[in-house]
Amino acid sequence: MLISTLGTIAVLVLFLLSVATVALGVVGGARRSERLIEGSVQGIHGILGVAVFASMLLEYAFLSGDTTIQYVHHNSHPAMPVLYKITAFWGSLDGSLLFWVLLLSLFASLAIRANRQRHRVLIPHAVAILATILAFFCALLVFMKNPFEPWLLPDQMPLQPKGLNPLLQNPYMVCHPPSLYLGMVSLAVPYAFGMAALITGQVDEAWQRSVRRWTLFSWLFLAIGLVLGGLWAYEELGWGGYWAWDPVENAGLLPWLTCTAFLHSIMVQERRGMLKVWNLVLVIISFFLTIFGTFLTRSGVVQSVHAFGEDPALAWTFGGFMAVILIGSFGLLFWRRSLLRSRHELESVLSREFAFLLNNWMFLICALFVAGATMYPTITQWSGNLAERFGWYRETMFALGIYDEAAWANALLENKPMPWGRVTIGPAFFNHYMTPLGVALLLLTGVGPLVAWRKTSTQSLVDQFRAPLIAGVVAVLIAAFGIPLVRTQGGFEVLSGWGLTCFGLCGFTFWTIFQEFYRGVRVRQRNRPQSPLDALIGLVVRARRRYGGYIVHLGIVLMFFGWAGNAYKLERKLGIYPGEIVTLGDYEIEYMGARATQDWQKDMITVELTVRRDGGHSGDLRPAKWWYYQLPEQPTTEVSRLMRPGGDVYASIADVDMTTGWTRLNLYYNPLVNWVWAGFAILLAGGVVCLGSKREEAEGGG
Amino acid sequence: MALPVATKVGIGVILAAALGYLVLSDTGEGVLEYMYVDQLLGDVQKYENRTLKVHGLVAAGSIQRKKGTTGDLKFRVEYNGKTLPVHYTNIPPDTFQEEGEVVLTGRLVDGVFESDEMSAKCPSKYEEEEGKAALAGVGKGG
Repeated sequence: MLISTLGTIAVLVLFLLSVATVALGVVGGARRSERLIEGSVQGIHGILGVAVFASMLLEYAFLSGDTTIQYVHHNSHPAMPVLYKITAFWGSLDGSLLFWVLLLSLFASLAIRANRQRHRVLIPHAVAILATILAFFCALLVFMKNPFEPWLLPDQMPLQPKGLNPLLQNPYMVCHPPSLYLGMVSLAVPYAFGMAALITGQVDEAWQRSVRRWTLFSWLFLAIGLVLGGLWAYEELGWGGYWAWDPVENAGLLPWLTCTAFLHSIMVQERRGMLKVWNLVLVIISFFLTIFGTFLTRSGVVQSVHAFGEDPALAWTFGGFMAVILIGSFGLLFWRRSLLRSRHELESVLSREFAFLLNNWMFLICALFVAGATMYPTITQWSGNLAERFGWYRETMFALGIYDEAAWANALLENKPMPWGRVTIGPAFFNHYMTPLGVALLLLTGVGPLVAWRKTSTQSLVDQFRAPLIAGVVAVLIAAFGIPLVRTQGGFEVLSGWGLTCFGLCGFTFWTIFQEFYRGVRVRQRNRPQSPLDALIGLVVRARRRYGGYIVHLGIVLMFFGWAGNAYKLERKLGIYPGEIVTLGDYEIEYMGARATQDWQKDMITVELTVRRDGGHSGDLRPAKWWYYQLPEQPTTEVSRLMRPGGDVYASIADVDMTTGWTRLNLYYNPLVNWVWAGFAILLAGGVVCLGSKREEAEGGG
Repeated sequence: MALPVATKVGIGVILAAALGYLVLSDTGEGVLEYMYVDQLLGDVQKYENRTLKVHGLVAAGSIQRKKGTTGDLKFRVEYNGKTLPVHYTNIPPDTFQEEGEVVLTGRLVDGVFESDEMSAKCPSKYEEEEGKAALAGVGKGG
């Protein structure tokens, strides 16, 4: 049988099986019928089996180059390396939806298997919800985006495709999308268990125990996906940065923010039985944001460099699904509100609970701001469309002073474009608001673990905060007077208010973490004589969640240290001739000359730069432009950078005139940028330590 | 919550003050008008010399690089039957290509859109249809 036929059947079976599983779960849960419940559990495992089969078929089609399938034809090329043929599976819309189904069925199957004895009551409902989500994505595959769609007539098939864009032939690009998918898709599991808890009324802590590690898993993979995307942009694109608040980047950041909030607030519920409603709200929002993010990426609703292209039908379908999620979830929450009373009340502002609450508000404000600013351009456009279509809407907007009636009448008269302004929101706007929010979060990272549950006495506050405060002040002084991060030509140091604040808070927070480890080690050594290293390892292993969390915080501090460097970033764009010297901060960069070379794949122009500082030779930079023979009209920009702990000297070329050697360079000095990557590595390590914690370990740390 | 009213009010005041500060200190930097080529050309007087973003498709065969150079591009972008000449002075994104979708940031000066910032669709999809690529007059530069 043809792969396309077999695959189409598999997709159809997937859809029917998901629907059947929903039915079994719902009826089984309502009647408490063990037989039906067991059937629904088998249904979930069956979906996984079929999803694996369908995915293998599609992979087989790619590897064997079966271009009778449209999707394979569009996304593959015989000469592509095998690795990229494999990843082409999720490289475009249709396949990425199948990939989504594959991952979701895998996670659903694992989560149901792990919890089927311990949390038996929740199982049929969790199954039904997971299967509903699966059914939605399968329906998209069946009715709108079948990746196995063949060419109906042989002569429909266009010419041979050209193969993979060299820009994507990069290891980061192999890992970045799947890690984001892993993170996003796995958030469906906590959501399903949270909703199952609401449906059954078993809203104690059981559902959280079953999902805590899942959330941590999602959180880690979202972070990996985000940072890999940043690294890729930094090393490949040549604009000297790694994060530009692009809507698709934001789509990955949003669930990460709410997930972080959730990981903190569940500790409050565990310890104090508070914030029950809030935790459910966070789980709902996090899941909603993963669907919202998929919607942003897939529907073309928001203008983005990554968007897959406009598709109104898909946009409406996703819109409907998102509405169902919101109404259904919050409806359930409202219905069960009486079961969600707090066991305790907040006793003091100087308590761990309150610090967590603030932390949660901050994360939620960040998420709301990013979501709002990301959607704002789209909202202005929709509003404009409405104003064109509906008189009552127009009148209301005139009345509110949002649109100008005179301008509208004038445009109508002169047959000019309508004055419903559409705007875009750039990185500067995001940075303006997100910088203070980030700094406040860094402060809370330091303060939170120092205050006690319930209430903190003044004496303990003084004890806890004395050393970190001194460390913070010292950090500011060193940053301001000790080590100049960036000097101007005249030797003057550049200072930045936000930069100094951030350095101070890094010092403060670093010391709070150090203090926790130091005290823990001392206690262990007192109890039993041992080397500090043994004591440290014992400490972390004994309370993995708590100290893993501190390690994550340490990584965050280092990342903020790197971000603070951004306040001192230097940027120069200029054209120079060979032999000329330019300065970038206290670096001197001499342009030696340009070289044209070629190899079997491409033509290259390489610009040779020598970098000096204080008279000494620091290194050479070799930014280049490459023209692959395969894609001559899309030259690639090859970035060159000098990596230092103090910062990167980063160069890319805009333009070279080979007759005169004149070149236009983009030069950047990115202070402390490598600390961001280093901090991220530590954050990952901390996350892994937390993941290893025993499920029942109820020890609630910072 | 069992917190005293004074504390709640205090927290509220601090949050409101912080938010107020943020909004008031906003320079509007980063917020730009956004439109398609046809809208820009529909009211040149209004939009002339204003920094804004314009969205369109790179016209086939229109990319001219200064002789012997790689950058400093001149090309045209089209949308809905209207065509806008562009002078672009920065590194074009690697995904920049004829008939590709671009969003340019810049200003309309004497009928030419002077731009130094461009985003082109990310190649999430691999390239299709070879025919599009076989365009004459597009040198490799250098």
